[in-house]
Amino acid sequence: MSAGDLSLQPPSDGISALAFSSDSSKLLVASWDGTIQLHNLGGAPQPPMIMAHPAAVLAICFGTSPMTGFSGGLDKRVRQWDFHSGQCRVLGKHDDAISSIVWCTEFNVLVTTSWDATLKVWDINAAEGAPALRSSHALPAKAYTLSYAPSTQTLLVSMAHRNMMLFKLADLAASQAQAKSGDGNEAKETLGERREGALKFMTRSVACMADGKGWASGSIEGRIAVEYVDPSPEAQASKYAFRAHRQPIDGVDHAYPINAIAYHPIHNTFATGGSDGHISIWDHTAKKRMKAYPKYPTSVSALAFSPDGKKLAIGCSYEHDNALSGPEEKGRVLVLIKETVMDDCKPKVKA
Amino acid sequence: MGRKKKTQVFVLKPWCWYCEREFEDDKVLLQHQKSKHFKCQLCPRKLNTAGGLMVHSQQVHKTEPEPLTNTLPGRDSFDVEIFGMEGVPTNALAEWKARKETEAGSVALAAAAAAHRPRHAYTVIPEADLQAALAQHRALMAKRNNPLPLPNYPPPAFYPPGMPPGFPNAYPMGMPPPTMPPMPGFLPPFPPAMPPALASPSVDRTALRSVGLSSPAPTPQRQSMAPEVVVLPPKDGTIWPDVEASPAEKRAQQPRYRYQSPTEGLDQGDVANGRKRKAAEDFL
Repeated sequence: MSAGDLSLQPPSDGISALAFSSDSSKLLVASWDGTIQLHNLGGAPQPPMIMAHPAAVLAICFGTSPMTGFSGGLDKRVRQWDFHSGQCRVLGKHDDAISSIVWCTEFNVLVTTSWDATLKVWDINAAEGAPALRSSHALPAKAYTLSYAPSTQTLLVSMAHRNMMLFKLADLAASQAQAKSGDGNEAKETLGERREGALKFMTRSVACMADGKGWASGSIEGRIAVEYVDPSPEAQASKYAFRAHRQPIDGVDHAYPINAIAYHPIHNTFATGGSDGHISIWDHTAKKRMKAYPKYPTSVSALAFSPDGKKLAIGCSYEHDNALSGPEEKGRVLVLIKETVMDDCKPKVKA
Repeated sequence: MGRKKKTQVFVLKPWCWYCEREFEDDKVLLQHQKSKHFKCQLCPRKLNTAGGLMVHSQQVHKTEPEPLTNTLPGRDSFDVEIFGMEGVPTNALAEWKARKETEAGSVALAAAAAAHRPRHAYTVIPEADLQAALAQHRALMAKRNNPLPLPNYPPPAFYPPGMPPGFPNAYPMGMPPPTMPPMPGFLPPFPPAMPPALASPSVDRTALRSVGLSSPAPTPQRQSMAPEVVVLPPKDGTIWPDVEASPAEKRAQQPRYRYQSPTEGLDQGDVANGRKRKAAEDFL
């Protein structure tokens, strides 16, 4: 079970997102109890710094510095946090809950997506009083998850009804300039490249490869797809999908939602976590599972690798998705750190 | 397997498999097992193990022994030979270990939390929210000062018989229902001295609903926000067969996670009214 993992003080309700700071020294935990918690890793276990929101928090990320962060959730507002003072600033709002949030250091912009089917780009250095919103882009459907690949500066948005969209961050930056120069609603849909997800069921999680050449996505129905950015037919022919996170119960194969995917930043292999409580590590080039950890006591809600590749943060909590094997699991929340992932994720060299 | 915990030292105490009780040392555990679980029902004799008790019963009393006493359900069989911590099934041992480990982890952390209090930042009501709350409050006050008569108030027959006139739950005609403070998750103050006979939910609900229907435009969206969220049950092994909404979306609709923005009360006139009714239904 959780033997060997370092456990941190959990929030009082389910975990919605986890994020590591760029120096891997801090971990942010976002929870459905309406708080975000900042853990200092390394050294003796300490209680986290807790910051409250008026509603459940669904998305979180760090800024360039480990002492700034951004959050969004059911209260529809984009918040910027200063962890020195514990104060926040509302950058603006969406029309529905914010589902995902990503900070792009290279361009100094914040990107948020929401269930209101828009993607918004924010400028945190906007002058006092000026709107922080730089541009807003309509998406074909409710957005669920964002993943950013810094190596190719590509942004991937996964949406309802299996829609996917790829954005070049440089294009988003260009569109900001355009919007500013005054020709209004020229936020064209041609900015992003629309793709159809390879999976038949709703996309639950996505993560861009560390080299930015493609991504892995997990569906609500126990299936993982590996797809590539390169639109050429050869590259597209190499995409594939496979079944995972399934369990036979009474002779019926049960397919669990794959709630979390994270790519290892150095080895370019990925970890998936499902509502069945399992975490597996996969090598997409060898098409092999490299590691299956023992079952966790409840669903795996979120995963995050530290940027130095030494730690994997694991959030376990019930996802309200019927995958419940006992009533005692409903309130169970765990935040764990696995420190053996540098070796576990290393691809095996072919002899 | 070696212990890899660096941060917390934690010792597994001896425990009794039959009743899952922990003991300071093995001696006490053995004493406990002898007197609680391996005591003969027919004579004062105490045995060391379940097998011993069985042999004793068969040879001394010439009967099959009663199932073991004082055990957890399912652990009263003679099949498992346990002496102190010896003979405990490995899977039970592993399970116990894991459980104790998580407990120890949370206890240590809780102790650490108590030692130096965490920095709670509760001072985070942003300026925009405050402004919006103030604006909403002003709007409500203005509305209260010049009340609009409702188009058709509920017929008096809906009021439960014997309800005192001006009873706070049945809204007096021509007055808008009492408004809510602009705090999310706040429940309306219900009359504390309500006689139990009158407090039947159906009556209250009827009264509330009729008030709601008389409001200018009941939005269809509100009806979809029924207190119970419909979640499709697992189908053909697919745990989440719903392709229209993600688990998170359904979860967000549950009463305890629902969020009403303070500024939206201004945009749509009767949202405050609707929210009041919604909250009241949650309360019932």
